[in-house]
Amino acid sequence: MSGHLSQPTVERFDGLDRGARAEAVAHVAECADCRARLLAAEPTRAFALLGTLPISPARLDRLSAALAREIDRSSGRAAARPLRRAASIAASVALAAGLAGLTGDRGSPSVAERAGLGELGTSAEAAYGRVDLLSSPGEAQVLDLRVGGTQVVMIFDKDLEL
Amino acid sequence: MSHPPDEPELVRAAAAGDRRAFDELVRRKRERVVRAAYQITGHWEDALDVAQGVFLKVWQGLGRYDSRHALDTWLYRITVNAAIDSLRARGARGGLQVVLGPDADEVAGAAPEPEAELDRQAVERAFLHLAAGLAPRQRAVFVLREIEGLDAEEIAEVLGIAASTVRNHLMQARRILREGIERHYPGLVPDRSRRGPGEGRG
Repeated sequence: MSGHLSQPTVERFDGLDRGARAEAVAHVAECADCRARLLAAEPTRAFALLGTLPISPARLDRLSAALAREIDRSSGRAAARPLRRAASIAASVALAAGLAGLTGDRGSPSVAERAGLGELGTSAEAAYGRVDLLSSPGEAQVLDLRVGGTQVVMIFDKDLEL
Repeated sequence: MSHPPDEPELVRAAAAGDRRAFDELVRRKRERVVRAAYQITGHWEDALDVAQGVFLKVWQGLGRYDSRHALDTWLYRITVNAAIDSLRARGARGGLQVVLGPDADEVAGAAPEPEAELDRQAVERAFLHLAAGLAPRQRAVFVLREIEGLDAEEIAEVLGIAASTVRNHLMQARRILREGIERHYPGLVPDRSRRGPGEGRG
């Protein structure tokens, strides 16, 4: 900005568009005369000058670094979830297959064959058992499988999507 | 030489999972977000926590961002809501008393001399002291209007309230701050009778 704020600019300060306002504030931050004229009309305009205060680059870099870590952490957690799920399903299928063997039900396809890619509940149903989800959301997940005369309780990570 | 990507390009790329585009977006917006959060919460650590949460939400929600709305409006909305929550939480923990306590007189003594070069940090201390007397919404409106330079309609969109309510909050905030300046920081308001060289020029 060349020269000082015009009187109409001072009077219409609240109605200036964002660009003109920012320009006026930047000038007032450096010019005691114009600052006095602007604040005489409305003292709280002094606080408009806070918009010109620089924030230390170190603080901003700290923010970016913390943000990057948090995004990496949350991405890592999301990536780990399917792995954990696959491992748990595989374990449950193997367990159910073993149980089917115990019940002596050899006439139908094996549980592992039928439930290998299915839901955990399906695998238990395939073994003619019953599945009760005993836990509440947010707690550990507990599955109670009753197959024939055998009862098996399985506990899963609460974050695992069953 | 390739030109730096414009904002819509960055948003599209970041929404598709491009971390470098997102980092650039953060670099462009972080100062504004941190400053607004700081002026509302009054504490750097709270402001940085708020800003981190804001950008994390942006990263997770960019895929659902409606580009018909200004990105800044969305950013300010998340920032203000999080900053108000943070301010209220600190108030509930008794944190506001730190600002309003015995240090107030010491802060008042640091008000800038009108003839001296502007001491922006003293202006900042005065604001943090006096703004602690505002309701969170009043403070947010004042910060968006006076420090960030948004107009009443933009603030209404950010806060999801009527423009008339924004003006009402602003009027109340100015009245409270004006009284605080007169009482604690008279040095912030220069004696205009001693001035004049710049008047009418420009």
